[in-house]
Amino acid sequence: MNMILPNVNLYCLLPEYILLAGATILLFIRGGGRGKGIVPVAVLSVIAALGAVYYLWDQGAVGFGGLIIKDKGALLFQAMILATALISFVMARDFLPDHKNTGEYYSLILFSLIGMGIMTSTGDLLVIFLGIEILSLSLYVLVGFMKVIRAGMEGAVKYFLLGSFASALFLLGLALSYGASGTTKLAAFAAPTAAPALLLAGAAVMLVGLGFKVAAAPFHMWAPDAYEGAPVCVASFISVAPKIAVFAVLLRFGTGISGPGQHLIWTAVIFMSVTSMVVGNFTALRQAGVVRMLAYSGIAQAGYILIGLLAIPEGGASAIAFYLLVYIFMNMGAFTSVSYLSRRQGKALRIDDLAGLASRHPWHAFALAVFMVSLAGIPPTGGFFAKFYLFKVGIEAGYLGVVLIAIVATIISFFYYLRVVMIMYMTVEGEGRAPMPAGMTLIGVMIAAIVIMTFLTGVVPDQFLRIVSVVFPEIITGI
Amino acid sequence: MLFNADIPLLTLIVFLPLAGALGVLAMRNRKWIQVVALIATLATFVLTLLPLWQFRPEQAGFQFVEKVPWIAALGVSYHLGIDGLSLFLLPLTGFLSVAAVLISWNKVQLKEKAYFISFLVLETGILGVFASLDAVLFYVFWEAMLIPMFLIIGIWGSENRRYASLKFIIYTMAGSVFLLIGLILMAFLNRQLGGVFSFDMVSWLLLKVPSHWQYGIFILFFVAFAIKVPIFPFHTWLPDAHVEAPTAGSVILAGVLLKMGIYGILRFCLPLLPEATQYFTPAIIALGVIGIIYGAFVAFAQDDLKKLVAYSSVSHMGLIVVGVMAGNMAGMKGGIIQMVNHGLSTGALFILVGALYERQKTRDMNRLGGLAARTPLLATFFVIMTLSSLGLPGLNGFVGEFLLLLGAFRYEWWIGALSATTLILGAVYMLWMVQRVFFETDRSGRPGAVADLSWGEKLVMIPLTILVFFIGLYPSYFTDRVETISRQLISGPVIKTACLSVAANPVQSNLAQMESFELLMKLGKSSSLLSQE
Repeated sequence: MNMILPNVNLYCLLPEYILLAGATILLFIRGGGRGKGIVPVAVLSVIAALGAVYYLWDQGAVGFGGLIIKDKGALLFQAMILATALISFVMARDFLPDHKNTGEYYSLILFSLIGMGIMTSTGDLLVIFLGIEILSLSLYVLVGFMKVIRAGMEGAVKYFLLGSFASALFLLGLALSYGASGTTKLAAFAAPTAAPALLLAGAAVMLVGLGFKVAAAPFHMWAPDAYEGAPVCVASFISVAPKIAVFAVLLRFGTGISGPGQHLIWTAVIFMSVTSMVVGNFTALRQAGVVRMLAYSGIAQAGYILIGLLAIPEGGASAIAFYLLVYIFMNMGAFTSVSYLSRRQGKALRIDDLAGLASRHPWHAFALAVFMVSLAGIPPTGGFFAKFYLFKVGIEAGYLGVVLIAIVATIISFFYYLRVVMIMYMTVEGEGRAPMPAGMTLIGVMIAAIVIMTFLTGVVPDQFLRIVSVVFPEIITGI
Repeated sequence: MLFNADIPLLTLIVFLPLAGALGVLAMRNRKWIQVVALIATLATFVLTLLPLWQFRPEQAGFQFVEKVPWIAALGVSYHLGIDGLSLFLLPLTGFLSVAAVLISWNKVQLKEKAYFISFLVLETGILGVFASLDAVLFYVFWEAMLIPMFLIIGIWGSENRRYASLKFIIYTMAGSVFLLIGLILMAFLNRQLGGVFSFDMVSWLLLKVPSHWQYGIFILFFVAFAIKVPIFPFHTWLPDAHVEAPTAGSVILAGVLLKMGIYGILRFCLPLLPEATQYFTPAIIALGVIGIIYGAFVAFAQDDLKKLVAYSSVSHMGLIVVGVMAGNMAGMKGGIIQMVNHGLSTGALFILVGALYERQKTRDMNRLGGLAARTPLLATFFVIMTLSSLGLPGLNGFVGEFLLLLGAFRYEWWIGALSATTLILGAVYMLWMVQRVFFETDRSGRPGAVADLSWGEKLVMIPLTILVFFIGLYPSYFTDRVETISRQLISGPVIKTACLSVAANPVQSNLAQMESFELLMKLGKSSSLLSQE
């Protein structure tokens, strides 16, 4: 037996090292308050990690005996996650009260980034599990970070219990598939095996675990409470970043699953997709709180993205990557707007509170309207092309029925997304609440930038599509 | 030649209003906002007139074509071009947009900047729909245009505006997303039959869509367009939207937006899916006839002026549907011309109803009356536009309605007879309306002077009236230019029938069939022209 690790190639984890260093330094910085060294360190380490991703982009890297694969797919997903984190830092700086704006917060986010970086760049189930756990442990703490809010504690407990349950399920699936194939490599799913049923059961159980993590119905129960209870800056982060990481994992899974009984897995994916779209959209209709509405909308969006998973040979991977890219902008944008409106109020923002916003803060209302329109998938915003691409690959793969359901779900979603626009623009001034600071702020500049990106992805999607389409042939063969 | 081929005329036309919207955004005071909006719409209008000069009526296929790749990964290109079908719709849009700005002059109390921006963005969307030759580009404009209209109804509308705006947008969007699926399916068929995954409508024209696909795609397309027209069972959003929309919004809605439905049917359903068109024609004509009669009767029962004009639109659009589906030259030409006529006369009627409302603060006909003496100018224009709308010879409405009815009679005499009730019923409700509002005694209970038309309104109404007479007296200017495209549009389904009927029953012969063989030759010529592009 060859006990010497064959090629460790330490530098393939370069982005993660940088994040780890940043996270550790942050724990030692005392200071508190905004902008006293903490946010800059956090932002710098994320930017440095992005630089490392860029550095690895062309050559790619494989290390730890093939356990870590930084191919272009992994790097793209990691870059998207890091970008999400950057947006969330700006939000947090603005949103968190001074005594909470401490190193721990940013440090935990950085740790979760390490977890997600590992998840995106491995083809080994055990390493995926490690990544999921690093991510989850950080997020459990973050959800309950503002422990003054009672609902926050409830949400955090719920998130913790269901999250641990999901992790346990994933571990069970891992054990089953190891029992069937004798390896923890994802590639085992493609290889012929002595116990296909056991392997399939393992895959199914792991799918449930991952379903929890992306909040796809019927495993979505935790999401609305956790989102509402968490500080808005955390809610936005957990609504986007883990989704990206888990979809990277699912894509690697998806390309690997073959053999007898695979259609059972695909049926399960169709089921998850359809239930998410139906449950998410219908429940979002009845929400009064903005964050809860966004939580259910996120469940529905997960349902749309799952369509791409069905169509991997037809380019589903690039459709998913493009959708997630646009999703970062529109969803983070929506959350940023909400956090800007509800900052330091200790109370969840209701949709009715937005009444008359267009009269008092026309720019801000415009931004939120753009995000809503994009989430609804109306051109000329990025949300349209993202959906369009997903539907296209879905139809190409022969899932016309699922796409038609998605279409009906989209029509339903118009009601609640446009309701926000209506409340902002079509009610008399002064009915709502939500006072806001005037003048130029960092967060305002960032919202403007996100609006521009939302339009850019809708007007010149070609540039973005080229990135995702160059990248994603490789994620298929990368395992 | 005012413009040579190097200058992207259509791009300028489509995006000039958008540039105007940015200009409006930069303005600070109300006067300049209006001035910039007016300049932008006027300049766009002038540009939309240029194609009329340079358009070669005898040439088949598209003119002023611009094509650059847009989203290569998805087979989408930025492809603009016009033919006889869209030729007159561009200036119509340009003109009514100028009208919309003029009649809103100094009248918007709330968020006037957003108001003019919405109208300019709306104009870009509409012009884009009429000029696009790429299905995705078409769809982007088609949907993007809904948001400003939604805001116009919802922010500046009357009492029940929120309900109406939501109903409008949900209805039309629900139809559109199915259209999107149809378009994606067409692109796949293009790959299957033509080799490339492409959304290029010009290349779609050459496809022979397999029969088993035609019916499904036809339904996906048709629902979207039928909602927009609106064809009978899909019309319920229209009265609400019209009644609640501000005057300028109603003008654009009735004048141009409804035409997008017919335009879509003529652009997508007829040429791309001839077999399904043939199959569904009787049903669609039946719906059209129901629309004609139902719309007229409901209009008859209205007390609200705006509702009356809105339902009259349902009736008139029904007639257009019957005509274009009839599958003969008369009906097709009449339909294309009547789109413009209806835009002018109904647009004008909405302007006048809006003016009336502003002066009397009511649209209830039971509380109006005797206005002819007090507002002679308004009354004169109103009567002219009413007569134009009900098809008095010498005015524009007559040309379109005559051709449409001729087409309907050629299709089936009793369909023609039923459609012709529009003349009688239209006369009844329209003339009765004029009588109640302008003659009889004043029921408003507010005697005293009523201001006549303002300069802005006059500025709009005078050219409208001139146009109404111009089309009525010199229709051949229009009929000549829509000749080629009409021939092309009716030829698809007819050739199909001819082939089918020849196969089934070789001795059967009628006029349509003889016409069709002659057309077969012409189509061959036109498609070779198309492929040269």
